[in-house]
Order: sequence, then structure tokens, then C-alpha cells
Amino acid sequence: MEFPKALLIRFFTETMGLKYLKEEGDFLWFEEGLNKVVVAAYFRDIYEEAELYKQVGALLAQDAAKTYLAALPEALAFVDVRFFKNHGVGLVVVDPSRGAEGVEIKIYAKPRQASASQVDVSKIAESLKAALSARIDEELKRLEKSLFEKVKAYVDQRLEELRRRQEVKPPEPQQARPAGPIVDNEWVRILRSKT
Amino acid sequence: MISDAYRLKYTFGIDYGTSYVKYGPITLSEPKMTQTRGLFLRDLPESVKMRIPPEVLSRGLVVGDEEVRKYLSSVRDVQRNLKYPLKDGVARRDDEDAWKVLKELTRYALAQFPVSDPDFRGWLVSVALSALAPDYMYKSIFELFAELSAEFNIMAVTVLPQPLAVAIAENAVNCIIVEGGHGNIQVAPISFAFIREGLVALNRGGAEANAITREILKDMGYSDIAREEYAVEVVKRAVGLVPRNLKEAVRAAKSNPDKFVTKVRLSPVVEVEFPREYAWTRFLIGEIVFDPNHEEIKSYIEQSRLRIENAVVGDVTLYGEMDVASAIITSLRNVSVEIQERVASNVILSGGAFNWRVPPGMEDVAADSVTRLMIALQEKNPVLASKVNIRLVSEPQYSVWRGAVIYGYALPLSLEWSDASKEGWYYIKKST
Repeated sequence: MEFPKALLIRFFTETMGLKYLKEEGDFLWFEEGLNKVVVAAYFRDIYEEAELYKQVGALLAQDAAKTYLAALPEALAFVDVRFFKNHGVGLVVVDPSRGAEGVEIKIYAKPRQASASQVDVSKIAESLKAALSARIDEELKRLEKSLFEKVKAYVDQRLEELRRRQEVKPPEPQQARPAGPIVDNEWVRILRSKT
Repeated sequence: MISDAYRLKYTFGIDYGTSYVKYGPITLSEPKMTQTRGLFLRDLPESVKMRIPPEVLSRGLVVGDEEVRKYLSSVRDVQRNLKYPLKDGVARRDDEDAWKVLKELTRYALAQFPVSDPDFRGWLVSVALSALAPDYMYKSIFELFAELSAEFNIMAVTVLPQPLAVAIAENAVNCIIVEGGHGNIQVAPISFAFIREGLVALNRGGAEANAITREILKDMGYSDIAREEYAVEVVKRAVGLVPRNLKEAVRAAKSNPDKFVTKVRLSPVVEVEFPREYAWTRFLIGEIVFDPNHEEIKSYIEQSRLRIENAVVGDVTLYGEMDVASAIITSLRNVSVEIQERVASNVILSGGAFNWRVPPGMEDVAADSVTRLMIALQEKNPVLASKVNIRLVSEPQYSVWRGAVIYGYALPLSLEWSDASKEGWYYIKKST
């Protein structure tokens, strides 16, 4: 019965886009985003009604957001659709003779509130915490950088002012320097003679 | 009593050029510069208004290269709101926006030099205006400073024409100043003062060299580049040549075009190539400034691709087609015969329109501005040419400012402003 199991895993991962986690006895575990999905691979040569519902019972006890029972087409005779729908259990029929196309979801599983929310809260809190700390880290770095730049610009500016003052200072005592060529200018004499 | 030492510290020069305002106190070795333009903060989205400091918003106008650039993208209609107040160095009397920009530029200039000296009794401001500036501009400039005196300590203001400032900076008492700007060329005779009657202005300048460069680019298939003023300016500077004699230069370029083909790289991805059949047009770019009266240039005018015509600014006629040598001769004729020779002996060229280089190996056909003008004078009047000495100013960009501060330093403070002689100090506090 390994082939139908392989078909099942292929269907849930490739067609449904779930992530395969592990196999525990008859149960195949998948992950759908933050939720866990469990599929009971119930493949038998001969099906019995009581055993089938025992399997469903075991499935319901699992801590998963969605549960599916996977069976061969022969099991359909024992399936009470209303029961499955009432309990939110999904039904997948696997027909190995049709190969990859032989897997079909007959009943879709309903998400189970309680377990789903349990998973969500812890997971969400965790991811929220991670995102928040990453964001805070980033903001801190940005702040640190801008603060550094501001301080650097301020220090540079002060230094430049200081340098300029030093450059300007020496000629100040000898302010006659610019006056030299000015006083020598013939125009100064001409203009000064106007009254 | 204001001492010379005080005047050597607190004389402030402002040169209102058409493209740039040059300003600063006499103590600077070089003036500060900012573009002569202002951006009106009109039609602003509310979200942008919130980001502008309230004191800037209340004035509704920004000036200064960085400041204008900062707000340029916020203003919706840049065409309407970016104002260049001066055309040919003149602001129209009724152009309120232009005067607002000039006032803001002046405030911007003065605000950069705060004074904390307890002995400071106010700036002595020396303003250089275009020689074409009409009387109302003088009056409006005084009013502008009177208004600003509430914010800045201004003792007195005087105004002098830009050519006189160039002569002062060059320490030339008898001379002819030929100032070649972007929009016009002014020929101003000077003999111990500016001889206003001798002023001759041409309605040509760097802008016409740009215009013909643009048309040549279009002919060569570079219409897209011709649309960008910046690119045209770069091409003009890189390829433009002043011919010694246009006919001979064109003949030389047509018989040996390989010598004159050239390439200009405008950016890592754009290159302009002057091919063999257009190599000769390089001479038209420089020649148009000196003399547009040639068949080769006329054909552009006849096709309405260039406009070279007379214009009137204030009470001065700007001639479109007059060549520079004739302008100098015309100017001289309006000077007293007695001093004509003295004035003519010293011709000083200033301004960006005379900034041309001769590439190595082309000395036989190309010339710089001084040589070109000397050749033209020799053709028109050999006697005059033999007595003329032509030279370029040493600092084309700053000479007006430098002359203005020297004038402000030297003009006696006892001389009060006279509208008739256009000389003297206009005292702010007395008249307000």
C-alpha cells in the first residue's frame, strides 16, 4: 500500500501546495501556512464499516487544523457523507489504477477552530515578536546612522568654521593688504577729489 | 566721522548681472555669487506648504541657487513661477515680480554678512547696474534699500554703471570698455568718468552664438540635442572658432575639412560630431558675435532661423547688425575730439561673449577676441588701429564687483546723490 500513499503525498504537496512534514503510523502530517493538516491513509484490501469509523475517531483526536481520511474507492460504500461533513472531516479517494490523476477530494475538511486558533496564537505571537524585533533593530540602526551623520556634519562644519577663522585671522591685523591695491588705484584719487 | 579704516571694512558691493548677482563686503578677495532668479511659491499643494518654514512661506518667494533648487520640484507651474528679473540688465518699471525678486536677492546677500561689531554704523552699499539701466531703476534701487534698512543697518547707497566699475577694477582712467554679455554688447567710453553720450549697445552677444550653434546642430541631424540650452552652450564653447577673416577661414576649412572635423562628448552616452561637410560652420559660431554681416550668416536670417534686429531698452537703441569695430568707432565719435585718442588707446574687453580660444595648429585661420577685434579695426580704420591697445580683463566674472567696492570706498561721503550727475551717496536714514 505504499503506492497510494505516495500518490497521496504527491497530491497534497504538488496539487494542494501543502508542505509535507512527517509520517506517523497511518497518519501523514502536512503544513498549510501556519496550520497543520493530518491525513489518515486508510488503505485496505477489505474495508469494514466499524473499523473505518474507528479510524475517523482516531483522526478527530489528532491536534490538527484540518483532518482528511484517505481511502480506496472501495471504502465509499461505507461512507456516511453527513457524518463526515458534520465532523468537518474531509474525504480523499485514491484510485491507484489511474495513477497521479486518481486522487480526488470528495469532501473538503472544515478548519477546526480550537486547534487552529491554538496554533495560530503561539505562532503569530512568535512571528510578530520576530518581525517587531527586526523592525526595532532596523530603526535603531537607521537612527544611529542618522545621528552619526548629523554629529559628523556638525563637527565637520565647526571644524571648517574654525579652519576658516584661522585662515581669515592672519590677514586681519594686516588689513592694509587689500587696501594696498585699492589705495594705489588712480580712481580713488580721482573720486576723492570730487566734493 | 567715518574713517577710511571703517570704509575698508564696511563697504558692500553688489553687481546685479543678468545671469548672476555678485555680492559681498570689500574685505572678501572674491565675491559670492548667486543666480539672478527667484522662485515664487504659488500654486503649492497643501502637503508641500506644511514643509516650508513659515517665514519663507509668508514672503512667498525664494532665491539662492540651493534654495531655489530645493523648492523647484514642489512648484507646479515652474515656467510661470521661476522669475528671471533682469533682461539686458534691466528690470521693467511695472514688473512687480521682478522687483520682488531683486529685493529678495538683496536681502539674501546682506543676510549672509551679519555684523556684531559695536562700532558698526551701517553698510555703505555700492551697486553696479547695467549701463542701459534707465533712471527709474536707480530710483527703485534706492527705494529697495530704504525698505530693507528696517532689517539691515544701511547707512548709504550709491549706484554706478557696470562699465565704469570694470574700468575702476582695471585701474584704467581713459579707456573704452567693451562688455560682451549673453544678451548684448555694450561699448562704453570712459575718461575720468563714464561718458554716457558715447554708449553704443549691440543687440547681440553670447545668445546669438548659441542660436547659430543650435541651427547648425539641427542641420547636422542633432535636433534633439539642439533643444537643450545647456548642450548647445557646451557645443558652442567646445567647437566655436573666431576666424581671422571669415571668407579665408571658410575656404581653408572647405579645402581641408579633415583639419577642422571635431567631436564633442556631452555625456557618457551622447557625442556630437562635426563631419567634414559642416566643419567650416565652426567659424560662424564665433564670427556672429563680432560681425553678422556675411552671406553665410545672412542666409540663416533670411530663412527666419535667426533673428538679429534692433531693440530699444530704456532710452538706448541696441543695434542688431552693427559689427563690434564699427560700434567702437561710433562710440568714439560721440566723445570730445580732444580726448578721443586718449580714450581709444586703451580698449578693454570683458564678459563671457569674448571668451574664445584658438586650438593649437589653427593659428593661421582662427584668432582670439583681442586679435579678431584688432584685425577688424585695421580694416575699418588703419589710423585708429595703429593707436589702439586692446586687452582682456584679468577677472571677467568679478571685475564689476571689484570696481564697485573700490568706488564705494573712494566716493566722498560728503557727495550726496544727484539725479542729474548720477553720482553720490543716497543716505537712507535722512530720506526715510
